[in-house]
This record gives sequence, structure tokens and C-alpha cells, in this order.
Amino acid sequence: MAEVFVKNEKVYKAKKIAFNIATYVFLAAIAIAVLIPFYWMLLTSLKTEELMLRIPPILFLKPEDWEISNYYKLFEVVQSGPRRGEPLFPFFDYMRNTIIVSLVTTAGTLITTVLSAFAFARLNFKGRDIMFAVLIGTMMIPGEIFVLTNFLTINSLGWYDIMDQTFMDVLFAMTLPFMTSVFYIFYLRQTFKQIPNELYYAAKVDGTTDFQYLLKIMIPVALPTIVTITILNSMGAWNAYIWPAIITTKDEFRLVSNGLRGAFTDTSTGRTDFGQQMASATLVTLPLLILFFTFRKQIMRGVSRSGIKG
Amino acid sequence: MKKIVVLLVMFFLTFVVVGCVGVVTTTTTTQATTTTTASTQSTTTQSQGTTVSGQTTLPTTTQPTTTTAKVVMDLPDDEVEILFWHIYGQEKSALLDELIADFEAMYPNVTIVSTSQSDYDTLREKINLGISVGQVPTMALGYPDHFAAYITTGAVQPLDTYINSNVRYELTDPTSTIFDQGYVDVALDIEDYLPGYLAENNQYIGGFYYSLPYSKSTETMAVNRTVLKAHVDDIRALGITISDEGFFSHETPLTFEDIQKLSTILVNETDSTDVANYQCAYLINYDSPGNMFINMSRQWNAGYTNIQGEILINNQITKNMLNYTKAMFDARTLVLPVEWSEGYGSAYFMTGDVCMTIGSTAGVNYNIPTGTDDNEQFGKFEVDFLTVPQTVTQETNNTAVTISDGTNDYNITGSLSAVQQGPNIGVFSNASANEKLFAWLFIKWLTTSENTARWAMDTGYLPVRLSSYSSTTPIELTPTFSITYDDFMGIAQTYWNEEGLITKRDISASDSFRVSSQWIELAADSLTGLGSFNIEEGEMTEPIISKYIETTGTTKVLEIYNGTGAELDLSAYTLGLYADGSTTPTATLTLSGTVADGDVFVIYNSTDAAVIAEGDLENATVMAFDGNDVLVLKKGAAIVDSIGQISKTADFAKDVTLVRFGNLVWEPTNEYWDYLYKSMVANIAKNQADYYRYDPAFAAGSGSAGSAQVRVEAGYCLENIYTAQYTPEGALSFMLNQLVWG
Repeated sequence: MAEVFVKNEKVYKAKKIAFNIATYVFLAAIAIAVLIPFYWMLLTSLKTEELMLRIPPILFLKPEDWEISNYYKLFEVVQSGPRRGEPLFPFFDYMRNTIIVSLVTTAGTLITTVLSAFAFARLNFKGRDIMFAVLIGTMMIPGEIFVLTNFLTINSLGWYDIMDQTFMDVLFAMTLPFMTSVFYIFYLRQTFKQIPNELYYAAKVDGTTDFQYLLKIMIPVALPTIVTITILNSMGAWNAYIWPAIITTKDEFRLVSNGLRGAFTDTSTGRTDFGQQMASATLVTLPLLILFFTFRKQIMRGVSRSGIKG
Repeated sequence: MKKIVVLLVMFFLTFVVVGCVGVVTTTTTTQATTTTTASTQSTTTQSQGTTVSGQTTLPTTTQPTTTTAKVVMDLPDDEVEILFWHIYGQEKSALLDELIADFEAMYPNVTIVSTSQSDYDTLREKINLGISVGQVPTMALGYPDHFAAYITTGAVQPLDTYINSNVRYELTDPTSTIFDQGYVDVALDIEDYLPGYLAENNQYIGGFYYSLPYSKSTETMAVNRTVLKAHVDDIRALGITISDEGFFSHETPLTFEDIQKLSTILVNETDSTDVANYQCAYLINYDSPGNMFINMSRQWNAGYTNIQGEILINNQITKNMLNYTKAMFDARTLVLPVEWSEGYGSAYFMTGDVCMTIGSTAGVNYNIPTGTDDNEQFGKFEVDFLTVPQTVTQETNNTAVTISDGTNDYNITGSLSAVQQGPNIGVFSNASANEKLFAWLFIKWLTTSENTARWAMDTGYLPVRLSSYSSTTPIELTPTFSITYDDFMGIAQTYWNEEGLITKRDISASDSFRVSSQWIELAADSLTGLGSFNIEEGEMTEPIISKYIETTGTTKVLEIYNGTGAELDLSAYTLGLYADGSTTPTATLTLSGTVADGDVFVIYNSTDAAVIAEGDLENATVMAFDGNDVLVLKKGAAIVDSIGQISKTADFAKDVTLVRFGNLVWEPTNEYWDYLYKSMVANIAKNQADYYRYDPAFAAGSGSAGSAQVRVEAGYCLENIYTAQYTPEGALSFMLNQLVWG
């Protein structure tokens, strides 16, 4: 009997090990797939033009072959002319603009999303469901179509004055059209709906107002979803390209995404200096990585908790 | 938690409130500006009215501007702000900023706001959007098809009124840097612009100049001269002229017939490069298949597009042309970058997979091997640049001929053709009369003979004016290097004349002495390399002056190099000084001693120990030159070599160290030679300027695509043929389907 048990345990152990190996191999494969673009970015940023063009491509680079000039070229200054001494590539200005724009957009989005999701999930008013259906319907319209209408709106609001655009104009123009998102409203409404009605009635009996109920009960319960929305929305703002390119008239107002696109292309031949482009991409990614590693626990908790129903 | 939420709400509310205040204030200001725009618009329409009436009365021939009586008035001195949109990043705009600063100093009431809009697509998109709401810059850079689209909305200002203007403005602001000049004419000497560029810029509706050329380039063919040099005899056996050092003619283009013959020698039987036999896998790479299609169509007179937006490619000549091209693809005579799934083939030219490559003149540096990459099968081979191959020759231009691709014969009446490309610059009609006037003067300033030459040398583009090519105004390219455009062109000419080698130069005193064409100028007081000199190849019968040092101190040194191949007795030679414009020697020194073959003889007047250590003969009479004095080395009565030009008194070599072209030639640190390749393509561009052709530019219409799209599809058409996705006929009809909807 005992032998059988031992044997079974052995089989079980072997199976477990095999399963673990399979899992880790699978995870490692996925991890590699995810990491390769980042690795490639880093690798390219450390290659000289000549190494970059090598065929077959060089996959590993010894530290002594690293070409860090791509990095310090980013911080070169203009050598001659009236702009002498100014940075060739105003990297920090672009970063600052991107950070400000994504913070403002995200804050605005959160406020509109939470309030309207609450209204659609909890409050009873006439035409609520029709309004919601119309809102959902607008999701069918591709975002690019809004570029022209948004442009006309922003222009008539006076925020696109090409002779004299201020940073506040640009900030409003870049953030306001993106301060609501039907998808996030829909997403959060579904989360809110899962919160049992009993909690609402109990709170009402205790004399809380709707707003207090939203603040004290709903937001804490739906926090994981809100965190997700925050992350997704900041990412969207960080990656925005077409709209910021159209609405900014001056170089100093540009976001990192637009700056990266144009700055390293030789305008006379249309060729791009990939080394420098990747070096700057690495620098753009760096703050996000630092942010992630610092707040790893909080972010992971948010993501893992989002599976648990309130 | 609550605090955070309250904080967020507060933040949002403030944001909205600030925003609303912003809206209110801006709408009021917008209203204010609307009224001003309304008033400026009335002047705009007025000026447009005169344009139109001016045009109707104007005959098609250009008005002789010289005889026109000038209408004189004061230059407007109101504050004017001009918004100039381009796509130049900080690096290129450094020079642009300098030119702007100069312009603002000339017209102190003008401010030019120059802004980069990152890339051409963004620039065009923003202007197109802006036109619909009246928010366009005063002036902008753009390709002809961009302007063609803007013109359909009436947004662009025809420049003819300015070009032919008889207005002379008197300068009234004494702080202007050109105040002494007294006046400024509005009119422009349009004849001085390259005819091809002019044709491109007045091809639009009504034949108006809606833009002027600014940053122009063309295509050129880089060749691996090291490979060619190995086959000189075989190439001559084919009846193609080539020099011993592997130089083809830089004026007469190779024909595709020549190319096909060369292919039998230079292309390896297998599709890989054979280094030992100097053969490549492919003969010619064509970077831009779109350009290739267009250029071949022109060379065959096949019909491509016209200014009305008609797409004329559906004809038998185009089909023949495509079949002819396909035969060359099949023979590996021509290759497209799609072969390697790349956008450009330069990397494969450098590695030796392809012997020649055709690309933009602005991309020269991408075709120069580094010599440090193991993949470069021919190592750091020698590169030369040629005009793009032609289907017909200068003799058979526009005459009926029969050409063959090896299997089929085609009867064609072809033309010489090379593409011209690069953006132009134009002014928008929305601006006020004064804004437009100064924008115009700014265009004039950007394209002065000197500025366009400077821009060309700095950026790799080509000058837009004919007079630039012979400009003798020195232009500072780096803080340590200045050169005139004429001398810049001379870099390649010297190199070509000398067959890429520096051998004996026969220089006589009557030669006009130019530092840049025969000498390398080192930093003042430099003694670099004193006491040694070497010329690798070639024999000379007489010694030459190899170094000339005129320091800021009292040290004067002259170095004489013996490259005759034998020991030389110097007693037969004299060195004469022709001081301060004298036509007879003011002092003469008879040399003495011998100098071994390949060695130097140093004559000096110095107390510097470093000089004395290398010195062979001290002298204080002849060696008393001071920068404007001529030195002549004679053997008996015959002039052997000289520095300077007898009878001239100008300081031509003061406080300098000059080194004769020699073993320094290939030193990459030498700035003069840094410009060799740029100089080569500038010469090539000049040589093929006679047959530049441009794309007719038109916006997309209801029945067909715009010219930019036709070019893109033309590129795909050739790629489809190259990859054998379609037959030539199939690729052509596929292309038509993509372009014509009517």
C-alpha cells in the first residue's frame, strides 16, 4: 500500500515538475516575445549606423562595442546661429509637455467617467437607457473622423491661432476633446452595476446623499477598474500622435511622440537616424519603467484585485 | 480618498473655469482680429485684382525689367510678423536662422517666425486644414503637388506681380544694415534661376509662378571605381570610353545600351559577388522605383501625366519600356531595393553586392564605404559619381532609333531626362499686402546667388541660381573652413583632372594661384609634417614646393620636394622673391646641395628650434616674404614652380601654413577633401541640368488620383514587375485601376 502511495507520489511529483517546466517555458517564451522589441530598441540605440545595416543583423553587442554617442548627441546644442547654445533636440521640453498633457487628460477623463458612469448605473432619470444607447452608438464612429470637427471647434474657440498660440491654448486644445470616453463610461458603469442595490438602499437609510454614496462606497469598491482606466488613459495620452501634431503650431509645444517622429529624419533624403531615434525612445520609456518598478506592488495589486467582484 | 477626489474635482472645475474665461477672452480677441482680417482682406482682393488684370494684359513673353521705369516709394515701416513653416529640424535650421537674423537686420520692422512642422505630410495636412479656417502661415515650403492642391482653393499668391514689379522702395530706417544701399527693388532677375526649376514653378493654372525653387536635388549614380578599374581593358573592348583609373565621362551619360554591355563584364554569373574577379551580384540599384518609372517614361517619350491631371500611361510605348526594363531586371542589370526588402540600396552598394547605385544627390554620404565593416567585400573601395544613365545619347536625342534589350527591338524617339526634385517656397494670399511684400523679399534673400550656394553646400542640396555656380564669394562652412562655390566645384574637377591621383603639377607663374585648388591650408603657425613629404604615385621631372609656412611670428619656411625618382643636385636651381607686386626678382637665392629621391629640402628663416632641426639652408633675404610676395623656383631661366602670381599685391598667403596635395590627400581630417563627394555630385547635377525634367503637379480630382499618388503607384508598378508578381502589362493595368476611377 505504502509502495503504491510512494509510486503515486513519484508520478505526481514528476507530473508536477513537467507541468512546471512547461509553464515556465511557455512564460519565458511569452516574456521573450514581449521583451524583444524593448531589447531591440536598446540594442539599436547602442549600434553605429554601420552595425545597424549589417546583414545578418547583430543580436548581441559586447559592452566595448557600445556606441553611446547616440545618447549624448541627443543633448547636443546648436553650434552656430542665433539659437547657439540651445538644445538641438528639446527633449526635456517635449517630456514636460507630454507629462502635463497626460496628467490633465487623465484627471479630466476620470472625473467625467466616474460621474456619468454613476449616473447611468445608479440614478434613475427619464431617457437614461436611450441616452446610454446613443452614447454607445457613438463608439461606432472611428476616432479619425473627429479630427476635422474637433479642429474646427478648437479653431472657433480661438485655441488654434497660428500667429500667437500660447501654451494654455495648446493645453486646452490637446486635452479637452479627450476628457470623456464612452468606452470607459461603459466599462465603469458595468462595474458599478455589479455593486448590490442593497448597499445603496442601506446607505440611503443611513441618510447619505448620492454623492457621498459615490465617494464612500462606489469609488473604493470600483477602485481596481478606476486604476485600470487611469493607466489605459495615460497610455493613450502618452501615445497620441495625429491630434497633437495638428493642433500645435510651435516646436516648443510638441509632445515627445511628435518630436521623436520628425527630429531624426534627414529632410533632404527622407532617411532616419535610427540610432538616435531609438536612443530617445529608450529615454522616453525609462520614466515609465522607473514608475513601474517603484509602484510595482500597487499596480499589480490593482490588476489582480480587478478580478474580485465587489 | 475623499480628499483626493475632492481635490480632483476642484482641479477639474478650475480647469473648466479657466478654460471658459479663456474662451470668452479669445472669442473677443478673435472678433477683434476678424475685423482686422476683413480690412486686410479687402486689400488682398485688391492686390489680387491687379494681378489678374496685370496677367490679362501681360503677353506671354517676359517683360524686359531693365528698361522699365521705376515707381519709387518709401518702404513700409509698420511692424510686420511673417510666419514661415518648413520641416527643417534644429540642425538644418541653424543656417536658416542665421539667414533670418540677417534679413531682420536688413528690415528691422520685420520679424520672421520660422517653425518646423516635423515632416512634409504634417505640414501639408495642417495647411490644408488651415485653409478651410483661414489659419495659414504667411509662407511655407512645399512640393509642387502640395501647391497644386492649395491653388485649387485660391490660397496661394501668384508671385508674378513681384517678379515683374517696377516698384523701387527707398529705405527709410537708418538702423537697417542695408540703409547705405538706399533702395530695394521688388523685381527679381528670374532669368538667373535654372530653367528647369522655373518651368516647375510656373506649370500651374494660368502659368503663374505660385512658388520659387528653394531646396533642390536630382539623382546621381554612384559607381564602385575599384571594380571598374579592374576591367578597364574589357570595357574599352566594348567601345565604351573609360580612363586607366576607371573614370567614365562625367559629362556624357552612359546609355542603357552601354549598361547592358557592362553587365556582361561586371555582373557575376551566380547571384553573388565575386571579389577575386571584381564582379558584383547586380549592376545597378535604383533607390526610388517611382523616379525610375517616371524618368524612363520621359526617356522613351512615353507619356506619363500632364498638368490637367490626365494619366497617360496606358499606351504601347510605356508597355515596351516596361518590357525593356524587365529584361534588365532579369539580367540582374537593374535591381530595386525591394530585393532586400529595404527602402534604399546604399548598404548593398557599400557591401559590394551591387556595383552602382542611383539615388538622390542629397544622400551622397550614404554611398561612401567606411572600410571598417567586415561586410564590405571590396573594403574601402573608391567611389565616383556619374550622371544617371540615358536611353538615348546627346546625338540621338529626339531622333528615331532602334534599341534592343537582347531579345526584342524597340523603335523609339527618346529624350534625355533626369529627375529634379526637392521642395519650393511660396506665399499665401491670405496675408496682408505688407506681409506678402516682406515674405517676397525674404524669398529673394534666401535665393540670392550667395545664400543659395551657401545653403547648398551646407545641406547637400543644389543652388537654384545659375550665377551661384560661378560665385567667387567665400562662404564659411565651418569656423575653420571657407570656400567659394566656384572652388567648391573645383574640388571634384581637380580630382577628376588628376585621375584621382596627385601627380606632378605643371604650374607656371602665369597660372592664377588658388590656395584651395592646389594646396591644403593648415592652421596658422602649424609645423605639421615639416621635413617629410610624399606623393605616392606618378613621376615628376622637376622638384616642387611642398610646404609654405608664413607664421604670425618671424618664422618663414619653404620646403622643396624631390619626386623625380633620382637624387637631385640643387645647384642648378634658384629661388626668387618678387616682393610687393614687383615684376622682377627683388632677391634671389641660388640653392646648393643635393636631395635624395623622395626627400625634402627645407629653406628657413627662423630661430625656432623645431624648424632649425628640420632645416637644410638658412636664408634671410629671399625668405623674407610676408604674405603678398611671390616666390618662384627656377631651373636656369625656366620656371619650375611658384607660389602666388607675379605682379599681384594682395595678401594671398599671410599667416598660413600651406601643404601641397600629396600623401595628405586621403586624410579624412582634411576639410577640403571632406567636401569631395558633395562637390562631385554638384558637378554631376550641373552637367545634367540641361535635361532636368519635373513631375506635372496636380491635386487629386474626382476621376483620378493626384500626382503624388501616381508616383507612388508607379513605384509599386516597377516593384510588381521586379518581384514577378505581375507581367509588365499586368502591372500597368493594375496601376491604372489604382489611379483612374472615372
